[in-house]
Amino acid sequence: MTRMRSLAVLVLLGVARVAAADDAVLFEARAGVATAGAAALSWSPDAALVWVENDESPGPLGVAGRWSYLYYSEATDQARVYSVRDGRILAAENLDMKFDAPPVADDWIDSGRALSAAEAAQGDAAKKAPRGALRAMVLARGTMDATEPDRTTWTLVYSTPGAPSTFVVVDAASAKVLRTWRG
Amino acid sequence: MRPTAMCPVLSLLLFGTFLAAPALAKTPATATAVAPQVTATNAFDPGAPVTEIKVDRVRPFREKHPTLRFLRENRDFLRARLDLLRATRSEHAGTPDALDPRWLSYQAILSGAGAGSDSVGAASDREARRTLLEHIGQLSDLENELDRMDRVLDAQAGRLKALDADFAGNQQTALVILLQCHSAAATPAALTIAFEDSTVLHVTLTQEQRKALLGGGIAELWHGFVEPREQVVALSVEQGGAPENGWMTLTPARDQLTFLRLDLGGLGAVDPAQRLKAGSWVLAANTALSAR
Repeated sequence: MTRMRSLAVLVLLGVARVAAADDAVLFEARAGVATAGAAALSWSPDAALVWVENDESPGPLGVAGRWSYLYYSEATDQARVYSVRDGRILAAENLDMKFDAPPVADDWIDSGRALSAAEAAQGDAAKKAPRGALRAMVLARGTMDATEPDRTTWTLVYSTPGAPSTFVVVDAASAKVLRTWRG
Repeated sequence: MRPTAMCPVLSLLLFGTFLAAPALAKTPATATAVAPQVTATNAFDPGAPVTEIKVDRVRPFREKHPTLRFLRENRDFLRARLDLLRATRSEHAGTPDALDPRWLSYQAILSGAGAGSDSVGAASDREARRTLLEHIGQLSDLENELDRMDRVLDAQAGRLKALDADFAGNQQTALVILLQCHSAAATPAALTIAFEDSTVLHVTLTQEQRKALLGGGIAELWHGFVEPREQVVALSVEQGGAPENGWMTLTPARDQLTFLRLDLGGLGAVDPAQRLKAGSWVLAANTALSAR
């Protein structure tokens, strides 16, 4: 009986260890830039950050367990993505499409502040028409806001099964919500 | 990946070896022929703990992690937006970029160094005349001149420090691949090294280089920038018969110089596990600076 109990404890400990090993440290997007940037410079000296996106589900504070950082090199006309998890690069690969996007501005607000701004702007409207679950957070310049192509923005994508997604575009310099639409 | 800007010679001298400057470095996704530089050395000491690298006989499995889901799902929309952006951006073409102030300061550094040399030269001439006159009352002037030379030397040291901080102190993640082979039966004719980004290095050893390896020499096969992440490097060694293949999993340390040493001394061994051996160690950037 004692042996059985010991075995059960061992099994439980093993399960706990596996679960702990699988739990990534949640972090805001900017925390991974230095790691990805060091690799991007090795790849190409003119590499510029053009896109940031969460690779694992974003949490309520704008954090995620894994973020992707896409760099574009004008010299080679190629884009390479670095996916950062637990402070190290988990995946690196060239993007299989032409993506000559402009570099994002240096002074972008972090993902947590962008999410706070989007949530604050929603206010009472959320009670009438819930946005659904936050699915994606994307930092880019020009592509998500046609009105001001030189502006770096965060785009937050909320989705509900069976309904159109809600897009919220936040200015990555001033944290002001620029527009919201469904589509 | 691209050639490193850091000169490795100082770093290698720290180990008591006399390897030449870097051979060739990788260019992105290409096959490159590499001419190794082999130099005889005795009792090679890396000066840092060497970690043995396991050489797998089959390519290790690497899990695929999906990235950029939103971008890939909306690639057509985003591609169209980028085309639209390019048309907008062309209107702003020709906008000048701000000059890096460091480039301007280098001119001032050069002028300062030149002026310092001139004043030291002139001071030397005056000093020679004064010695001829053997006028004891001018000894205080001599002392002043010596003080001035000291100040010029101090200023020069400051300039060198500034240049050192801008260039030598800015170590990026880099890798040096070394080859060691002390057995006549195992000396390879050629090697192929393949990186994950499709870059392939072809190394052919001449008769003289093989002889130097046999005499205890070490060859520097490659020196270049690498990404600071776990990656698999494939190695294929040709010796006449079927090539000997191995895969090494490396994690170059960020902003540091990592050395990978390939030891092919056991190439002819019966036990396949003994044929290809590798070890790595890291040289911290500040080690080279402090040694100077």
